[in-house]
Amino acid sequence: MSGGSDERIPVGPQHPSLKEPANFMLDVDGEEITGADLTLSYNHRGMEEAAQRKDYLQNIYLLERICGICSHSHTTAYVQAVEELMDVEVPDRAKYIRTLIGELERLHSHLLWLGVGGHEMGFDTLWHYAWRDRELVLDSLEELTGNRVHYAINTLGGVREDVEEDQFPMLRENLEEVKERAAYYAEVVPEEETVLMRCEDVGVISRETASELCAVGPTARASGVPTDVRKEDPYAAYDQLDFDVITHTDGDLLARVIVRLEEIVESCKIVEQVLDDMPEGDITGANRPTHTLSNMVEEGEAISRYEAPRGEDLHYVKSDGTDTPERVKVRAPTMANWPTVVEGLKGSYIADTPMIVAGIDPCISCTARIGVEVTGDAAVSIDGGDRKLSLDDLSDYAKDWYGQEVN
Amino acid sequence: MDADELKAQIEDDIGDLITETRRGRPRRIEVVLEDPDRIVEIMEYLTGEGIKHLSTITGRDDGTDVELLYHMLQYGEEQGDGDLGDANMVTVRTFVPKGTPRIDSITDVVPGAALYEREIIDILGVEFEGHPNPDQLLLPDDWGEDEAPPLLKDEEPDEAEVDD
Repeated sequence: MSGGSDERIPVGPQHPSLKEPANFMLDVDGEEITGADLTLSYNHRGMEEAAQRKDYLQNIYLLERICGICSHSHTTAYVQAVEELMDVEVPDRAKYIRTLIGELERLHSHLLWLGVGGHEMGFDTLWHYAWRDRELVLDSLEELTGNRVHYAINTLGGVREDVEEDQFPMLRENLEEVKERAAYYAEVVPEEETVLMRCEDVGVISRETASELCAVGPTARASGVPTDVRKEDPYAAYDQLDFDVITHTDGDLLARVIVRLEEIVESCKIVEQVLDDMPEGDITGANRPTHTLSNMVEEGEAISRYEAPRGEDLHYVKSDGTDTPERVKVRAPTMANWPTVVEGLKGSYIADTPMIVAGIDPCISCTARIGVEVTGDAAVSIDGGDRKLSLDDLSDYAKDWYGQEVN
Repeated sequence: MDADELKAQIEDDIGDLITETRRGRPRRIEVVLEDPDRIVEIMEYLTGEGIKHLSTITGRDDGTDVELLYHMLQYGEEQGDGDLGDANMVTVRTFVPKGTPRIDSITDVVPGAALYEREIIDILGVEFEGHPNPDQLLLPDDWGEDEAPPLLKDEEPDEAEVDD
């Protein structure tokens, strides 16, 4: 894939602007990139092999850890496949709860990306704003599931935890604020000078190229390819909900920014509908003790598709009638979008590399966080000693540390 | 066109290529390609019919063969009344013998297949003839050339490696 010049420069695998180990060998002519190659082999975790050694239930928790951002995407894709093999009907309420968590996940993932995008384009104010707003979504997820990133809500046949009516006011309040912020970003960001300078006409992928390279998710939609599993192959409660698939025709980085911003607005719409229409009923369709569920899986195979924040996530599960799968195959959306990065780099300037790479929202797992119990009771120890802090104490401690006024 | 009509059309058009057609859940069709040497031919047909998005290629060691599944998808907007829900998925199933696992690369017809084929090369050792860049993609750099591809089932890992 070499261009007209002999100069090759490596970007990554360790690079200040790339948070996960990927390497790009760039052929350059002066400042212009004429060709690019990609190396990904730095962190293969062997999860598909590991999945063949765990039972169906254990695999939920293994596969949840494929990603620290779209963990719910992977478990939902997986349990949907296994449920097809178990021949179990998931109750409506469980489907709505899966949708609720899925859309909150999309919200926090897109806001996370907006921050990363802002940072890569040298617009750190946007980064801080977006990540502050993302906290509202993470707080909502923590309220519902007890966790910020690995929600562990799915089980075979339904969900593990019910939602309570008295949680809804807090969710609605947070959602209202996120909606307001999303509308503000959707209005301001596409007009902002820094954003335009770094994103307009950069890393352009035409509709034909995106389609030929089989791109997925916001990356494909920003190039005008109308693809969205929520509409193509509705799962969970999506066939009951009213929402638009956002596409854009320009195919540049700016289009990828705009598509995600508008998807944040759409996700807020979906969450509202889910809260309004949450049906009553059971949360699991498998009326058996949890530990026996793995034995219900019949011989067969199933393909399950899920619209993760980054695009189509596909899980293939083959069962041989035992309680462990014969094969689990996972195709995460970033894998499908890498070829568009290589294509987008060609003809761009070297300095655009970080933003073009960030443009597909490559999946970055970084979820380290100290534990705080949802009840707000003591859970955190500072200095390794006995001093325990509640969530409010912790917040005050942080403000004190940074010299801010404590309420 | 719904999945039943599409299934009937595929059977009419390329009945000589395939030995079996199945319907699964809604919007899913599966065809079995008897002769893996004709993979490019069937891909040319499918892409020509608008079934052109390759979601991925699944590979599996079934004991005697390596089973390959090509998951192909339509774009709903390009079908009938432009509804995204009109998208059907067609999975092409074919087998290559484990002793001589080779098949033609489909990257000329579906450029998006490049990374998926490289993944199968890494994990199952299948040779994709005509692949423009069949370098190692996912396995670590120090994965020995004489080591068996990790998802082939010939050898059980050492007991010490199995961590339950």
